[in-house]
Amino acid sequence: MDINQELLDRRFYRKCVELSQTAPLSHGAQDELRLALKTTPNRFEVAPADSAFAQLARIQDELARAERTDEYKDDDEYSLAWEQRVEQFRDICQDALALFPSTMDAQRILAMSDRAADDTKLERLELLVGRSRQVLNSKLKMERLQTQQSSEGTYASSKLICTDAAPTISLWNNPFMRPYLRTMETLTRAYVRCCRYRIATGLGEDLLSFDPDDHTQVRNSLALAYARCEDERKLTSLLTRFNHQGTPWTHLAMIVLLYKQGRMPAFRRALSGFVQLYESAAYALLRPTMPQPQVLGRADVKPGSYRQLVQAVSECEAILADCPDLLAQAAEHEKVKKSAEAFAKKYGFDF
Amino acid sequence: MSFDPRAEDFQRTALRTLQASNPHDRFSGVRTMNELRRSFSEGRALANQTDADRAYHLVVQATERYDYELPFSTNEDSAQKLINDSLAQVQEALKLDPQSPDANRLRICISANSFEESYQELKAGAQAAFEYCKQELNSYLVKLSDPDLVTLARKVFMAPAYRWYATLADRSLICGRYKTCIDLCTKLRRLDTYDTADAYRTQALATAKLQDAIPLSLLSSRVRRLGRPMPDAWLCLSHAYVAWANRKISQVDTHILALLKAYPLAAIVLTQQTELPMPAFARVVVQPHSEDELAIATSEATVLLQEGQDFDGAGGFGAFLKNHPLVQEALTADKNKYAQLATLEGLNLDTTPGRPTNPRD
Repeated sequence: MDINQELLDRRFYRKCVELSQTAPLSHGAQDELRLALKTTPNRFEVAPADSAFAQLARIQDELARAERTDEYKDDDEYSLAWEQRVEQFRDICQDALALFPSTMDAQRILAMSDRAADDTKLERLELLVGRSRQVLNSKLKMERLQTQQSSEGTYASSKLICTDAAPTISLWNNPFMRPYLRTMETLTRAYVRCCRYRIATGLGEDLLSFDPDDHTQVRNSLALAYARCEDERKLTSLLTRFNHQGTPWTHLAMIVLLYKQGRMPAFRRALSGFVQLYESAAYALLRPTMPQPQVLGRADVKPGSYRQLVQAVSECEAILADCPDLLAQAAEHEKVKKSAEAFAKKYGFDF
Repeated sequence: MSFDPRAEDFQRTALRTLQASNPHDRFSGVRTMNELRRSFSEGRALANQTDADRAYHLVVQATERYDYELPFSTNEDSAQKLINDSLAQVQEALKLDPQSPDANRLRICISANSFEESYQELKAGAQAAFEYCKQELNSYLVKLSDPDLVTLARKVFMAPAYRWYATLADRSLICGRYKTCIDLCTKLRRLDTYDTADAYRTQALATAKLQDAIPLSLLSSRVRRLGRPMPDAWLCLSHAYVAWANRKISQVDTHILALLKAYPLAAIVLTQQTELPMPAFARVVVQPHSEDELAIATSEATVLLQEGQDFDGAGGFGAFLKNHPLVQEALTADKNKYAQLATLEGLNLDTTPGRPTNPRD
């Protein structure tokens, strides 16, 4: 999640809608507007909702700073720093809410960073998701109606034959809908973390209907939940839907599923494929560590990097622990062992 | 898996004895049974026992040590001695009858280094165990003169196969293979329509793990038709878990209330959530609706209770159950009740209901 980029998208979208009321904007005009917003943002008026959203950029900056400094801290210093940081983030969210009370992202971060029990956090997020669903549903209906009207218009004017297939509508294109989509993704991830797998699949599937291109990467949580519920059909169709473009999460999901099905040769093949694909996979799997807490959402890390693998293994932890001998089986695999050793040796880690 | 090993030992010997008795003599059966009872209580070997029966007798002795004495062992040395002794008896049984399904199963359960290893070994031997039992039953039925004994013979000679499948289902549950577990339990319940192994309990836990309420409700209604005493702790815990997982908190309350009402000292057992050592032979025989039964159910439901990220030793559902207002409310009353019982029976108040923890841990 890039707050500055999204802020630009929001201001652009808002201005476009405002200007389009008089006459539709050409592509050239849109490009000009975007450039002007980027280079001379102060020339444009800022809506209260956008200035509230802009507050969150402070969290983003602090997270980037934390990434650079945390490496040199010991455990106590690290946890103390994070405690202080979370308080700081909560203050920033309160500032944002003071500027605009219904800033969804701020509410989401507040709900997630609360020190309350998991169930209380889920309850708070569920409330937010309830509201988000309402907004998204009405927006989707409106978008569908508009698309239908415009396609009917095209049909009437050009006399072309229309196909029955409804055009795909992604609410992600509207930057004002993104906070709601992110809230749904956060709850799906929280459900998986709190072992509510079946309910997570329902929510994740709903989210995919609002955002078919999956900008929120909910497919990662969905894949884990399907694997835990041993739902091979749904996991395979999810992977097919995204052209088998795997992520560490989907690979882990497949490994877990094959183990659960007792297909041991396939399980071993999947494992060796996983460790071949990602240099750090074996090490991350056999020596799990705590990733940086997720505040804004999943951290934007380099795909296939050690940090991403740590993130994926951490999210999969409860599912891996549910098969008590899975990791022991993985550790016995010659390729996995060698790969973990090689990674540790290369980067100076203990193994 | 509520098989009574001693009762089955007697039934097995009785079947052999009755098979050998004269069918034309009306009193022969009664006489032989009286003789058998005496010999059995005195622990005398019987002439008409086969090697398979003798092997089974050794299995029973090993079971008594491993399943019934080991959990109460107070120190590590005595626990290790009990394990070694039971393993030696199982090896002895295997010398008498190398194919004995019960002896082989106990050997796997006692000596396996991991759940995965025991699962793989049990899976590999399942078909052979079933064939063996079928063959033993058929060879008995061929020589049988009294048709009234057919039902008992079927129950006794097929029991090792049922136990094998039940143990395999149990191991698949622990290994996280829930659909395999459900398939095995369904198969077992089809083979043994009385469900002597109480496979529905393992199936309930596996079905709950998939967090789908509908198959669990269907299973519950099937069990109700079997005429088992209700409410059943395994079903209640499974239903409560599914309701918790699907965020239907009011439904959880219904099942917790049912448990608190049906089982004495339930709040203490539900708060402690003690993990008991896994029995090798079958589920330990206890009084229905006793606190011991709930302790066994809670221990088997560890797969539900300890799932998730926990900092205090309890998983998400375990912590929820422990801190549930209904359980906490009943806890004070149960503690008082337990103190009264302990005073009456002169027990040490430090020991709590349910069997003690695994001495091997």
